Amino acid sequence: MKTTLKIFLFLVVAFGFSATAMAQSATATATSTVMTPIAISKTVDMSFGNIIPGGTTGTVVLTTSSTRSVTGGVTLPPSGNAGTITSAAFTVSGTSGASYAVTLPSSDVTLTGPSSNTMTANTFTSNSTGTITGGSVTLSVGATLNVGANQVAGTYTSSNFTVTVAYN
Amino acid sequence: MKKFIHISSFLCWIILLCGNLSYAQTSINAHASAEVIQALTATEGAALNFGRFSPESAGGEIRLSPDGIRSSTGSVALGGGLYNPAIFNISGQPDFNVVVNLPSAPVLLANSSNGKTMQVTNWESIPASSASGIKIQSSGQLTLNVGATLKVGNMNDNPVGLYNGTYAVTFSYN
Repeated sequence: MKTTLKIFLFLVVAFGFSATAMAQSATATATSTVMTPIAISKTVDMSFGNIIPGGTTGTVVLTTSSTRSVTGGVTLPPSGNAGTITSAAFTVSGTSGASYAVTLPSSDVTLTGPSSNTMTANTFTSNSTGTITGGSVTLSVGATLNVGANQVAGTYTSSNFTVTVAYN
Repeated sequence: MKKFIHISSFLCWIILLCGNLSYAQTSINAHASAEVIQALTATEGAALNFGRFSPESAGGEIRLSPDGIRSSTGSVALGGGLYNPAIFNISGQPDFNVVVNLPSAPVLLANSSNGKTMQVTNWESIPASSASGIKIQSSGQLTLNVGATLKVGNMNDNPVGLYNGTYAVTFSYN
Protein backbone atom coordinates (compact mmCIF):
# COMPACT_ATOMS: atom_id res chain seq x y z
CA MET A 1 0.00 0.00 0.00
CA LYS A 2 2.73 2.43 0.97
CA THR A 3 4.73 1.44 -2.06
CA THR A 4 1.81 2.19 -4.32
CA LEU A 5 1.35 5.64 -2.87
CA LYS A 6 4.98 6.45 -3.44
CA ILE A 7 4.73 5.51 -7.08
CA PHE A 8 1.68 7.67 -7.44
CA LEU A 9 3.47 10.69 -5.99
CA PHE A 10 6.44 10.11 -8.21
CA LEU A 11 4.23 10.11 -11.27
CA VAL A 12 2.62 13.37 -10.27
CA VAL A 13 6.04 14.91 -10.06
CA ALA A 14 7.06 13.41 -13.35
CA PHE A 15 3.94 14.78 -14.93
CA GLY A 16 4.80 18.22 -13.65
CA PHE A 17 8.19 17.98 -15.30
CA SER A 18 6.88 16.67 -18.54
CA ALA A 19 4.39 19.49 -18.78
CA THR A 20 7.05 22.11 -18.34
CA ALA A 21 9.50 20.33 -20.59
CA MET A 22 6.96 20.12 -23.37
CA ALA A 23 9.20 21.55 -25.98
CA GLN A 24 11.67 18.69 -25.74
CA SER A 25 9.37 15.80 -25.16
CA ALA A 26 10.30 12.28 -25.96
CA THR A 27 8.08 9.27 -26.21
CA ALA A 28 8.51 6.03 -24.39
CA THR A 29 6.47 2.90 -24.00
CA ALA A 30 5.17 1.72 -20.69
CA THR A 31 4.13 -1.86 -20.13
CA SER A 32 1.88 -3.13 -17.47
CA THR A 33 0.34 -6.51 -16.74
CA VAL A 34 -3.28 -6.17 -15.86
CA MET A 35 -4.17 -8.86 -13.33
CA THR A 36 -7.58 -10.34 -12.93
CA PRO A 37 -8.98 -8.81 -9.75
CA ILE A 38 -8.74 -11.27 -6.86
CA ALA A 39 -12.12 -12.35 -5.61
CA ILE A 40 -13.43 -14.61 -2.88
CA SER A 41 -16.84 -16.16 -2.47
CA LYS A 42 -18.21 -18.42 0.22
CA THR A 43 -19.23 -21.97 -0.60
CA VAL A 44 -20.00 -23.41 2.83
CA ASP A 45 -20.25 -22.00 6.34
CA MET A 46 -18.26 -23.61 9.12
CA SER A 47 -20.03 -26.25 11.20
CA PHE A 48 -18.50 -28.01 14.18
CA GLY A 49 -21.29 -30.62 14.28
CA ASN A 50 -22.70 -32.22 17.41
CA ILE A 51 -20.60 -32.18 20.54
CA ILE A 52 -21.12 -33.47 24.06
CA PRO A 53 -19.92 -31.20 26.85
CA GLY A 54 -18.32 -32.58 29.99
CA GLY A 55 -17.80 -31.50 33.55
CA THR A 56 -14.62 -29.66 32.60
CA THR A 57 -13.81 -27.28 29.79
CA GLY A 58 -12.54 -28.58 26.50
CA THR A 59 -12.01 -27.79 22.85
CA VAL A 60 -13.07 -29.15 19.50
CA VAL A 61 -10.46 -28.71 16.78
CA LEU A 62 -12.00 -28.63 13.30
CA THR A 63 -9.38 -29.16 10.60
CA THR A 64 -9.49 -27.72 7.10
CA SER A 65 -10.33 -31.24 5.89
CA SER A 66 -13.49 -31.32 8.04
CA THR A 67 -12.26 -33.74 10.66
CA ARG A 68 -12.54 -33.19 14.38
CA SER A 69 -10.55 -33.90 17.48
CA VAL A 70 -11.19 -32.94 21.07
CA THR A 71 -9.31 -31.99 24.19
CA GLY A 72 -10.42 -31.69 27.78
CA GLY A 73 -13.90 -32.69 28.89
CA VAL A 74 -15.54 -32.62 25.48
CA THR A 75 -16.56 -35.85 23.76
CA LEU A 76 -17.93 -36.47 20.29
CA PRO A 77 -20.94 -38.65 19.57
CA PRO A 78 -20.38 -41.55 17.14
CA SER A 79 -20.87 -40.95 13.42
CA GLY A 80 -24.58 -41.74 13.52
CA ASN A 81 -25.17 -38.72 15.74
CA ALA A 82 -22.25 -36.56 14.65
CA GLY A 83 -24.31 -33.92 12.88
CA THR A 84 -22.96 -31.74 10.08
CA ILE A 85 -19.19 -31.38 10.22
CA THR A 86 -17.63 -29.07 7.69
CA SER A 87 -14.83 -26.58 7.57
CA ALA A 88 -15.71 -23.27 5.96
CA ALA A 89 -15.07 -23.34 2.21
CA PHE A 90 -14.40 -20.46 -0.13
CA THR A 91 -13.53 -20.05 -3.78
CA VAL A 92 -10.65 -17.69 -4.45
CA SER A 93 -10.32 -16.56 -8.06
CA GLY A 94 -7.76 -14.40 -9.76
CA THR A 95 -4.77 -14.56 -12.07
CA SER A 96 -3.34 -18.05 -12.44
CA GLY A 97 0.04 -18.39 -10.86
CA ALA A 98 -0.35 -15.30 -8.73
CA SER A 99 0.58 -15.60 -5.10
CA TYR A 100 -1.84 -14.38 -2.51
CA ALA A 101 -2.19 -14.07 1.22
CA VAL A 102 -5.11 -15.04 3.43
CA THR A 103 -6.06 -13.07 6.50
CA LEU A 104 -8.12 -15.04 9.01
CA PRO A 105 -9.87 -13.71 12.11
CA SER A 106 -7.22 -12.96 14.70
CA SER A 107 -9.58 -12.42 17.61
CA ASP A 108 -12.20 -14.69 19.13
CA VAL A 109 -15.42 -15.26 17.20
CA THR A 110 -18.39 -15.66 19.51
CA LEU A 111 -21.05 -18.29 18.95
CA THR A 112 -24.31 -17.57 20.71
CA GLY A 113 -26.76 -20.23 21.82
CA PRO A 114 -29.84 -20.62 23.98
CA SER A 115 -30.39 -18.12 26.81
CA SER A 116 -27.47 -16.02 25.57
CA ASN A 117 -24.97 -18.76 26.41
CA THR A 118 -21.85 -18.41 24.33
CA MET A 119 -18.79 -20.26 23.12
CA THR A 120 -15.80 -18.84 21.31
CA ALA A 121 -13.95 -20.01 18.24
CA ASN A 122 -10.34 -19.04 17.59
CA THR A 123 -7.05 -20.36 16.19
CA PHE A 124 -8.39 -20.23 12.66
CA THR A 125 -6.41 -22.23 10.10
CA SER A 126 -6.48 -22.43 6.31
CA ASN A 127 -5.18 -24.84 3.71
CA SER A 128 -3.98 -22.06 1.43
CA THR A 129 -1.03 -22.95 -0.78
CA GLY A 130 -0.52 -19.24 -1.40
CA THR A 131 -0.87 -19.55 -5.15
CA ILE A 132 -3.89 -19.31 -7.41
CA THR A 133 -3.74 -22.17 -9.86
CA GLY A 134 -6.06 -22.61 -12.82
CA GLY A 135 -7.88 -19.34 -12.24
CA SER A 136 -9.52 -20.33 -8.99
CA VAL A 137 -8.78 -22.40 -5.93
CA THR A 138 -10.80 -23.74 -3.05
CA LEU A 139 -9.83 -22.36 0.33
CA SER A 140 -10.84 -24.29 3.44
CA VAL A 141 -10.83 -22.74 6.88
CA GLY A 142 -10.92 -24.58 10.20
CA ALA A 143 -10.89 -23.36 13.78
CA THR A 144 -10.88 -24.37 17.41
CA LEU A 145 -14.11 -24.22 19.41
CA ASN A 146 -13.85 -23.61 23.15
CA VAL A 147 -16.54 -25.45 25.08
CA GLY A 148 -17.38 -24.64 28.67
CA ALA A 149 -17.91 -27.10 31.49
CA ASN A 150 -21.49 -28.40 31.26
CA GLN A 151 -22.10 -26.09 28.31
CA VAL A 152 -25.86 -25.65 27.93
CA ALA A 153 -27.27 -27.80 25.14
CA GLY A 154 -28.55 -26.15 22.00
CA THR A 155 -27.59 -24.69 18.66
CA TYR A 156 -24.87 -22.06 18.70
CA THR A 157 -24.26 -19.74 15.76
CA SER A 158 -21.72 -17.00 15.25
CA SER A 159 -22.19 -13.63 13.68
CA ASN A 160 -20.15 -13.01 10.56
CA PHE A 161 -16.43 -13.55 10.64
CA THR A 162 -14.30 -12.18 7.85
CA VAL A 163 -11.74 -13.87 5.62
CA THR A 164 -9.65 -11.57 3.44
CA VAL A 165 -7.48 -12.48 0.46
CA ALA A 166 -4.96 -10.20 -1.18
CA TYR A 167 -2.34 -10.48 -3.87
CA ASN A 168 1.14 -10.48 -2.47
CA MET B 1 -1.06 16.59 -29.41
CA LYS B 2 1.95 15.26 -27.59
CA LYS B 3 0.74 16.89 -24.45
CA PHE B 4 -2.55 15.15 -24.89
CA ILE B 5 -0.80 11.80 -25.23
CA HIS B 6 1.14 12.48 -22.06
CA ILE B 7 -1.94 13.38 -20.15
CA SER B 8 -3.89 10.41 -21.38
CA SER B 9 -1.09 7.97 -20.68
CA PHE B 10 -0.80 9.50 -17.24
CA LEU B 11 -4.52 9.01 -16.72
CA CYS B 12 -4.17 5.41 -17.83
CA TRP B 13 -1.53 4.89 -15.18
CA ILE B 14 -3.76 6.41 -12.54
CA ILE B 15 -6.66 4.26 -13.60
CA LEU B 16 -4.48 1.16 -13.60
CA LEU B 17 -3.07 1.98 -10.22
CA CYS B 18 -6.46 2.78 -8.77
CA GLY B 19 -7.80 -0.40 -10.29
CA ASN B 20 -5.10 -2.41 -8.61
CA LEU B 21 -5.73 -0.63 -5.36
CA SER B 22 -9.40 -1.54 -5.36
CA TYR B 23 -8.97 -5.14 -6.38
CA ALA B 24 -5.74 -6.09 -4.67
CA GLN B 25 -7.67 -7.52 -1.76
CA THR B 26 -11.16 -8.61 -1.05
CA SER B 27 -13.07 -10.04 1.88
CA ILE B 28 -15.93 -12.37 2.51
CA ASN B 29 -18.02 -13.17 5.58
CA ALA B 30 -18.94 -16.59 6.89
CA HIS B 31 -20.67 -18.12 9.89
CA ALA B 32 -19.62 -20.81 12.31
CA SER B 33 -22.09 -23.03 14.10
CA ALA B 34 -22.05 -25.92 16.56
CA GLU B 35 -24.66 -28.07 18.23
CA VAL B 36 -24.12 -28.89 21.87
CA ILE B 37 -26.08 -32.00 22.71
CA GLN B 38 -27.27 -33.22 26.09
CA ALA B 39 -24.79 -35.44 27.82
CA LEU B 40 -26.22 -38.90 28.38
CA THR B 41 -27.00 -39.60 32.02
CA ALA B 42 -28.61 -42.61 33.66
CA THR B 43 -29.88 -43.29 37.14
CA GLU B 44 -31.19 -46.48 38.64
CA GLY B 45 -34.85 -45.96 39.41
CA ALA B 46 -35.32 -49.42 40.91
CA ALA B 47 -32.89 -52.21 41.73
CA LEU B 48 -33.37 -55.63 40.21
CA ASN B 49 -35.06 -57.77 42.83
CA PHE B 50 -35.89 -61.45 42.27
CA GLY B 51 -37.91 -61.54 45.48
CA ARG B 52 -38.38 -64.44 47.82
CA PHE B 53 -38.24 -68.09 46.86
CA SER B 54 -37.19 -71.47 48.10
CA PRO B 55 -34.78 -73.63 46.09
CA GLU B 56 -36.20 -76.84 47.50
CA SER B 57 -34.41 -80.10 46.63
CA ALA B 58 -32.80 -79.50 43.26
CA GLY B 59 -32.90 -75.76 42.60
CA GLY B 60 -33.62 -74.40 39.15
CA GLU B 61 -34.05 -71.02 37.52
CA ILE B 62 -36.12 -67.93 38.09
CA ARG B 63 -36.77 -65.67 35.15
CA LEU B 64 -37.81 -62.14 35.97
CA SER B 65 -38.84 -60.53 32.70
CA PRO B 66 -38.25 -56.82 32.01
CA ASP B 67 -41.99 -56.24 32.28
CA GLY B 68 -42.03 -57.68 35.77
CA ILE B 69 -43.33 -61.23 35.30
CA ARG B 70 -41.65 -63.90 37.38
CA SER B 71 -41.54 -67.58 36.48
CA SER B 72 -39.53 -70.54 37.73
CA THR B 73 -38.22 -73.89 36.56
CA GLY B 74 -36.95 -76.93 38.44
CA SER B 75 -37.90 -77.33 42.07
CA VAL B 76 -37.80 -73.62 42.84
CA ALA B 77 -40.90 -72.45 44.70
CA LEU B 78 -41.68 -68.78 44.37
CA GLY B 79 -42.63 -66.97 47.55
CA GLY B 80 -44.57 -63.81 48.31
CA GLY B 81 -43.26 -60.33 48.79
CA LEU B 82 -41.84 -57.77 46.46
CA TYR B 83 -40.00 -58.46 43.23
CA ASN B 84 -39.35 -56.14 40.34
CA PRO B 85 -37.20 -55.62 37.28
CA ALA B 86 -34.50 -52.95 37.29
CA ILE B 87 -35.60 -49.58 35.99
CA PHE B 88 -33.13 -47.09 34.56
CA ASN B 89 -34.02 -43.49 33.86
CA ILE B 90 -31.94 -42.13 31.01
CA SER B 91 -31.84 -38.55 29.90
CA GLY B 92 -30.17 -37.23 26.77
CA GLN B 93 -30.63 -35.45 23.49
CA PRO B 94 -34.20 -35.87 22.17
CA ASP B 95 -34.54 -38.24 19.21
CA PHE B 96 -30.94 -39.42 19.36
CA ASN B 97 -30.21 -43.13 19.18
CA VAL B 98 -28.49 -44.80 22.07
CA VAL B 99 -26.87 -48.18 22.40
CA VAL B 100 -27.53 -50.16 25.57
CA ASN B 101 -25.07 -52.81 26.67
CA LEU B 102 -26.31 -55.34 29.20
CA PRO B 103 -23.90 -57.64 31.03
CA SER B 104 -22.69 -60.28 28.60
CA ALA B 105 -21.11 -62.55 31.23
CA PRO B 106 -22.99 -64.02 34.19
CA VAL B 107 -23.08 -61.79 37.25
CA LEU B 108 -22.57 -63.36 40.67
CA LEU B 109 -24.81 -62.69 43.64
CA ALA B 110 -23.12 -63.53 46.92
CA ASN B 111 -24.33 -64.26 50.39
CA SER B 112 -22.20 -62.20 52.72
CA SER B 113 -22.59 -64.55 55.69
CA ASN B 114 -21.57 -67.83 54.06
CA GLY B 115 -19.94 -66.83 50.74
CA LYS B 116 -22.36 -68.91 48.66
CA THR B 117 -23.17 -67.52 45.24
CA MET B 118 -25.82 -67.59 42.53
CA GLN B 119 -25.45 -66.66 38.86
CA VAL B 120 -27.57 -64.14 37.01
CA THR B 121 -27.64 -64.69 33.25
CA ASN B 122 -29.72 -64.02 30.15
CA TRP B 123 -30.05 -60.31 30.70
CA GLU B 124 -32.90 -58.75 28.75
CA SER B 125 -34.43 -55.33 28.49
CA ILE B 126 -37.39 -53.34 27.25
CA PRO B 127 -36.76 -51.76 24.83
CA ALA B 128 -34.55 -54.64 23.75
CA SER B 129 -30.85 -53.86 23.75
CA SER B 130 -30.47 -55.65 20.42
CA ALA B 131 -32.90 -53.26 18.76
CA SER B 132 -31.02 -51.17 16.23
CA GLY B 133 -32.50 -47.89 17.31
CA ILE B 134 -33.34 -47.24 20.94
CA LYS B 135 -34.27 -43.62 20.69
CA ILE B 136 -34.40 -40.97 23.38
CA GLN B 137 -37.96 -39.70 23.44
CA SER B 138 -38.77 -36.16 22.39
CA SER B 139 -39.02 -35.30 26.09
CA GLY B 140 -35.31 -36.09 26.42
CA GLN B 141 -36.08 -39.08 28.64
CA LEU B 142 -36.00 -42.82 28.18
CA THR B 143 -36.98 -45.55 30.61
CA LEU B 144 -35.28 -48.91 30.32
CA ASN B 145 -36.52 -51.99 32.17
CA VAL B 146 -34.02 -54.78 32.76
CA GLY B 147 -34.74 -58.35 33.72
CA ALA B 148 -32.62 -61.50 33.93
CA THR B 149 -32.59 -65.13 34.91
CA LEU B 150 -31.32 -66.32 38.29
CA LYS B 151 -29.74 -69.77 38.53
CA VAL B 152 -30.51 -71.32 41.88
CA GLY B 153 -28.71 -74.31 43.34
CA ASN B 154 -30.17 -76.74 45.83
CA MET B 155 -30.54 -76.02 49.54
CA ASN B 156 -26.91 -76.93 50.19
CA ASP B 157 -25.58 -74.71 47.41
CA ASN B 158 -27.83 -71.83 48.26
CA PRO B 159 -28.91 -71.84 51.88
CA VAL B 160 -31.35 -69.34 53.25
CA GLY B 161 -30.17 -65.75 53.20
CA LEU B 162 -29.81 -62.54 51.27
CA TYR B 163 -27.76 -62.62 48.08
CA ASN B 164 -26.68 -59.52 46.32
CA GLY B 165 -24.26 -58.25 43.70
CA THR B 166 -23.61 -55.46 41.28
CA TYR B 167 -23.64 -55.27 37.52
CA ALA B 168 -23.09 -52.60 34.91
CA VAL B 169 -25.35 -51.42 32.13
CA THR B 170 -23.79 -48.95 29.76
CA PHE B 171 -25.50 -46.38 27.60
CA SER B 172 -23.86 -44.52 24.78
CA TYR B 173 -24.88 -42.45 21.79
CA ASN B 174 -24.95 -44.50 18.65
